[in-house]
Amino acid sequence: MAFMSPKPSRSNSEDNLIPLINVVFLMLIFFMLAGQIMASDLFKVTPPEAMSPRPMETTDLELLMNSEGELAFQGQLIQLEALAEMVTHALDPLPYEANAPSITFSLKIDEQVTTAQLRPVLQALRSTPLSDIQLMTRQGAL
Amino acid sequence: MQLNLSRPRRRNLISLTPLIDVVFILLLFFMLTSSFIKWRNMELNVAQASTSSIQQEDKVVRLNTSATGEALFQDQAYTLDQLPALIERLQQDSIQHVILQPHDDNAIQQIIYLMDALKQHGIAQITLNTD
Repeated sequence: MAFMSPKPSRSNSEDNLIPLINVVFLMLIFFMLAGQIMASDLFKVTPPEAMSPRPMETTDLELLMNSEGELAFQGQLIQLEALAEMVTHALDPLPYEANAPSITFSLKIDEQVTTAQLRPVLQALRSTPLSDIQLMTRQGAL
Repeated sequence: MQLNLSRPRRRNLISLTPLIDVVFILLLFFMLTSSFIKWRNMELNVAQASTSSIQQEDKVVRLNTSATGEALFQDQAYTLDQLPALIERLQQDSIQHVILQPHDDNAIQQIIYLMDALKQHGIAQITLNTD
């Protein structure tokens, strides 16, 4: 006796895909809505945790510093000696007054950066007309 | 008369496989590029206490930190848990401004924990000393 196995129809096999598509669509919507797409930084930086209630505002200038002490200003790798000059130069064409800071500057540093590494950077920044420095942190609980 | 009406076959307008391909690619893109970090801004007051006018203010206190991140005040170390006692002591002298002088070995995370705790307990102004 010969059994003829019924050949699965194409439409049936596609019907089985619908739950899969449902799940994938849900995941897609989750990642689209919950995640934030940001331009990747020059090197990996894990910002320190803080309880600051102020959500991040976009800043005009950004200085990046990783745990090895490497610096990147506006997406460009720089040396510490050039920092003050570059920041001053970046402030130049913009209408900047030290008393009414219209230019925002953010410091994105790795949580493992030590004071010894940070001190020369802050000293260099202090020699520029910059008065308002924002430290970028991530939300955490104390 | 018997009518042989066969059920009309569902017609697929588009094939599902290319659709899944595209959706998978989109999913991969969003999974790899999305960042779930909740970014926050924290104002960083930087000063050189030796040259600044803040030294002339009366209600200012200078806090050093130890290599392990404890606050040092009058030869006594305060951990984060003991900090409320220190802040209470400072507030009795109506001190609202703290100049933080971190140890060279402190990671920025330790300093921020300390700054957060000081702020949380009512110290209005915290300045990081860069001397």
